[in-house]
Amino acid sequence: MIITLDLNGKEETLDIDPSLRLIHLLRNTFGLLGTKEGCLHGHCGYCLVFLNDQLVLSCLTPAFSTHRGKVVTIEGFRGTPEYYDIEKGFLEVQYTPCGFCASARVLLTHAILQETLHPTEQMIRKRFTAILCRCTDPSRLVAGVQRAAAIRRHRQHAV
Amino acid sequence: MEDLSEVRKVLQGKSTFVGDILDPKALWVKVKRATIPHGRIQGLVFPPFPPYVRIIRSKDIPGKRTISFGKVEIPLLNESEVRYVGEPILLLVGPDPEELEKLSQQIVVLYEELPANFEIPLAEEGQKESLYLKESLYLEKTIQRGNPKEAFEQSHRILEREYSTGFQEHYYSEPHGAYVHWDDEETTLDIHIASRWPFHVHRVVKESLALPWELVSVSIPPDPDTSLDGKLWYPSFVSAHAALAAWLTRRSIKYLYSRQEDFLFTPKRAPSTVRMKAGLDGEGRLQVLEAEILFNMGAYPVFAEELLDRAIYALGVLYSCPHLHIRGRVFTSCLPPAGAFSGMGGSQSLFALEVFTDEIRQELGVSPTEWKTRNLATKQRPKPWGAHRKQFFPPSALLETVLQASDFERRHATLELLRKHREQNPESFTSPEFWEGIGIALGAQGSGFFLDREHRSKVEVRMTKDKKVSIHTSAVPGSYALKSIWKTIASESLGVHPSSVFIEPIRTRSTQDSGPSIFSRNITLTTKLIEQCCSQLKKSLPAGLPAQGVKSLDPRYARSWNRETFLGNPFTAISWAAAVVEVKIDPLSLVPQIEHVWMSIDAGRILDEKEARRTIELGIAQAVGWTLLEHVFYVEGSIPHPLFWNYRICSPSDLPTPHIEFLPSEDHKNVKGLGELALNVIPAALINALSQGLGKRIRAIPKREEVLL
Repeated sequence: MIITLDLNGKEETLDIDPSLRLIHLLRNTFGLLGTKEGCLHGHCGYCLVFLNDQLVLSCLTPAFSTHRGKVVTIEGFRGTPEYYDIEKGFLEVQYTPCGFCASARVLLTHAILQETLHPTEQMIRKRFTAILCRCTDPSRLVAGVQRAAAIRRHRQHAV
Repeated sequence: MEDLSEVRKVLQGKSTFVGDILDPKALWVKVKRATIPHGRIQGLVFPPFPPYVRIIRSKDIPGKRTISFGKVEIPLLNESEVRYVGEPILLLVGPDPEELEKLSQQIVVLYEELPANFEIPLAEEGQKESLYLKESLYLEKTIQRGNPKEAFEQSHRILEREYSTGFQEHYYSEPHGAYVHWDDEETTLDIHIASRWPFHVHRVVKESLALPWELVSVSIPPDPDTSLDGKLWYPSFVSAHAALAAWLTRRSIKYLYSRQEDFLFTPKRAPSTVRMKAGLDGEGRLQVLEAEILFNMGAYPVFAEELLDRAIYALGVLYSCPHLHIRGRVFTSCLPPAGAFSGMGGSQSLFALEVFTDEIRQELGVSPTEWKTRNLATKQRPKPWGAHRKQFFPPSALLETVLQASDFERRHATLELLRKHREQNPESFTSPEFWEGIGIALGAQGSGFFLDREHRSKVEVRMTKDKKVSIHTSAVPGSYALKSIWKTIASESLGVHPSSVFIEPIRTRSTQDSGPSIFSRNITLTTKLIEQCCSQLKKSLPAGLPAQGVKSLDPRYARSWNRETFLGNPFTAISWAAAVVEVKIDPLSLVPQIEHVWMSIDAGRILDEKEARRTIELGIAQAVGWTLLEHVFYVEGSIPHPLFWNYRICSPSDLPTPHIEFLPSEDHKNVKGLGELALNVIPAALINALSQGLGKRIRAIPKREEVLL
């Protein structure tokens, strides 16, 4: 079937197998390797991407469901001012997730900051249960997200 | 502080792993696995295969057909007697992994089924040990000090208990996998794999294909993943399969386990049973300890002696005890091989010991603090292993620091009164309020491999004419911070800017063999060797550039340890920890919530406190997972499939921010390991807290609510 989608700001039209998963479209067709393949069953959360501004598990999302939609992966997000808020926040508190779950954590942080610029510790801890990885020390994760929120608040005020 | 450019790369999603190597021309590998736990293969019936699919069998292996670990021989492909569900029988190689999966399912394996044992086959007390038991027994050690029999006869009080610990899944980020690049012109095998022991991969591939050393090269992806110890030896197994496929097809190969396949068939933490019997004098002092440690290591007991020695050693590391009898046994079973895991051996024994000592003090009616203070080993009241150096005794500040920080004595006394009140007034069990408990445990971690005498460890540091410094080591760093520590050491020692220091990518053809990256060897041995290389290089600077420093592990300490008598010093250093955990328990669901964790730690010289805290916090999460959440079990040799979907590791919402205090170490020059400390103390502290809160003693982990009802 033929689909058209906005992928990281660029319109793409292609013929796909209806059974194709979004993660495989991203990784194998477009070479967008920042989205990592984990369990393929929606369990680990490594494959999060934005579809129409909502975070989705790309392993459980059929590629055809992106037709006429807008997909943003870490490759599309990493050049934005919103990304730099998060990068700066994480670096300032020396929060370094592993390369396997980092993209998902950055995108999830962005989703949280879109909801509120004052995320509580409890909220952050709860929301990050969506990503299962042994790499993260929770206290620096919390500090990193809260620092990113402060940076974004400051930037938005400045604007 | 980590190298910011590296961390930015991670956050921007630019890290590359084996699965990210895209090579459309590469062929794929699928393993045909055994479907029964024990049996002889009588025959194989193959469906018609397309001509482009290659079947690889054991007889096709041109060189050594097994991986050896001491007496243990693991067949790379097993067409004779399979010993666990999932054991590889043969390989299918072709362009489409889904087609290979379908073809694999069509191959019929004819078995003669044999009896299968899954548990440790224990004889009842007084019963003669059966032949079956003897066949499953792989290794046995008995260590004795003093006269335990006489000491039990003279004891005022004797207590006996049994404890057990379960399997644990490694849950590393990327499942096992390898990419092998085939170059027609060079006829070399370039293997890309995540492994904590690159030279072992190299050796196994070389031997299995009967190739000269120089025709194989192993490269490790530059980005650290959290593979922990799950990628210690098993990647050699995976690489051998991938390299075999590449060698026989003359094509590049991509080979990646699915997460489910990885979960079902790869090594886990070895489960244990520890039986303890203690004899006390009139003042509650430990006079004699008898213990039996039993491990189920599955079909192929890799590192069994290391596991057992660490477990035995841990039982005698904390407390003074003049009379001791420990029997340790490792059994094989028809389960996938259990492997190395952080806290290997020590975590299982220290869980048993520290829950047992809590039961002892409860029987005596004294506080944990009082009992521990009375029994901790000191130079005047030595522990059984005969070490006399100061650093081999628990530092006195360890207990005091954690007690003060947590207000333990007051909290424990209060909650003990509540527990007794509930015991005397059972109707209060229906109270809707939370139940609370607080527990304490001590522990230690030895740095280095007991087997270090058998494993080379070499590091090289070079400086070029334009003062660029390169570090050559095959040690695989588990974090960017560790890489940064190594760069800082070289930069400060050699007086060059940090940006002029590089860590060479790990390729076995061009780097030094630094041995396995396990048991905190990176932070202890490798860091020390880098320091020594830099000193050597510095001394040679007057002679001009280029210059180099090369240092190898000095195995003297390994030689000072006697594995049979347990006398001497087995480790380069020992680090110490005390932990207090406070919990709240929902009386209806019995689900606990951890409220506070305090730890005091003596780990010698701390090179980067933030990184040390991170390491401890990761260890706490892993320990809490093992104690409360991570249930793995086998039914007739197989993990039930729903377990995979329900397996849950510790998440940020399960943990509070821990209070961690690093003590000013008496041994402040020595860098010691700390990666295993949390695994060695948190499970017992947490279970002691839960037992107090529930008013019921828990002796098995992972704790399951249904057992408590």
